Amino acid sequence: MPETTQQTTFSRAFQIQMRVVSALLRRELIALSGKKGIGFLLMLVEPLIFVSAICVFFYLTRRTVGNVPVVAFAMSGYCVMWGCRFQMMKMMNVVAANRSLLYHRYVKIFDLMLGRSILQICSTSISFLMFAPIIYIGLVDFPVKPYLVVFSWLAVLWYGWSLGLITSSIYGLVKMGEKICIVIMVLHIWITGAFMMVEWLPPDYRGYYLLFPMVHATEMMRDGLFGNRVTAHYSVLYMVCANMVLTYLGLVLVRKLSQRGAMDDSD
Amino acid sequence: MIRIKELCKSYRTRRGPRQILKDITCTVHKGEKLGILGCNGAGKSTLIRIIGGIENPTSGSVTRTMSVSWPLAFQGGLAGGLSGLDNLRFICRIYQVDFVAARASVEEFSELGNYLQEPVKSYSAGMRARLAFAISMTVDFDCYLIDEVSAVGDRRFNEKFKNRLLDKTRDRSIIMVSHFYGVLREYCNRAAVLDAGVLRVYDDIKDAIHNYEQILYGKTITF
Repeated sequence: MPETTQQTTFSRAFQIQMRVVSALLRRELIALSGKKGIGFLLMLVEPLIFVSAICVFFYLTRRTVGNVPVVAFAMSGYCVMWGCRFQMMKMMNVVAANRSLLYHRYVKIFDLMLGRSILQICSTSISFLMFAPIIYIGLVDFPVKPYLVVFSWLAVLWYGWSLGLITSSIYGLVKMGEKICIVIMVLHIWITGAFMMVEWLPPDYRGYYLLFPMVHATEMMRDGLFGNRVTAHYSVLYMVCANMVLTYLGLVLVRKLSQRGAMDDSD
Repeated sequence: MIRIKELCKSYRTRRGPRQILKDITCTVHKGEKLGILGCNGAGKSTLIRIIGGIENPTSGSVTRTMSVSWPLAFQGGLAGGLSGLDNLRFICRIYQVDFVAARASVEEFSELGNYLQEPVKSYSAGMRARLAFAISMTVDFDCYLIDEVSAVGDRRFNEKFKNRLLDKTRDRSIIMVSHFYGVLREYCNRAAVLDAGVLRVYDDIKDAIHNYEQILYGKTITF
């Protein structure tokens, strides 16, 4: 790679990056809220609306899935689904929308993505905490294995972040990027395991379904929430490995996009 | 000092790669003020962007041992959705400048008044240039990159800007692209002509202009 700057030490570079990301975060908040502070609230409400709408829908149709309350079942699935999909969705066009900021040498494409994803991680995590009042009013029992719930949630965020890096890079790198991203997004409605459990499938087909990393996260979430009341199939090792591979792929793509330069619209 | 070494840049086009800059080697010392002339599409803005570090060269290197501003251009550097003040706030955070002092200076210098609270996308080209200049004046750079912005400001603002910039940059550098010879004569002490991807530096601006005119009228531009 051609050398364009003086060599900066790692700690100095890290300082600059922290500064830039925090400035970007504030910028995003201002842009969202129009300075009235409603923006962040709206961001929190957005995933909440989706989750609660689906809960109400399920609640009205039937009360239990197997021996698990339907609200809990729906929430566990949808939280996982939106945990990763929201990040992908919001990170997709972040580079195009902030291109003018790249005029400042310190601002890197990766920083733009990082700022946006931090904000999304906060908003989806806070709406994930919706579980707390629901547990409190007794609609859902307290998780049998809370650590699994937390670990699964972290895995979801990690996965969403990696996929966000991938989709936002594809969006910038390929002409058909937007279309490809939409396909990936729609696919993730089905391959996160939100609608069903692996146990419901014939044993021969479970292996194929478990190829999708997010199915493991959802199963783990349900194991954490319901314990022995459901039979969960998942492998922590597989999920972590898949996430690492996806993160690596994402970083490679971001690097490719950075080298190409987002200034260059010429493809 | 900015040292550009064997810099090449090509862009991908529909009919294959097109080389814009060919093997450019050039040094700008602190205090030097370099003007760049070139026909439309010669690669002046590309060169400025590469010097500013916001675009990567295809090969070669740019070494900066002094702080270099972002390229001050018609657009870029400012977020359209944010107000002028929020843009200033963002830039102050990135470059670690005290916001309160910077705000006072921008208000005074840009004369944009209440418009500073409006989103930048509602600004006219001239107003945007005023804001970009005013903000850039609040950050101390050793070298300012200016990409033909003097064309949009009105005369009074241009004079004000010139005085401020020359005052500020007495011992600093400017790299400037302009089609106006008068502007180049006022700001620069050296000039270069960018033609067919090659940069030729002249110690006398007069020579640069003379050669540029010959190139300009000696050929029809075909892209």
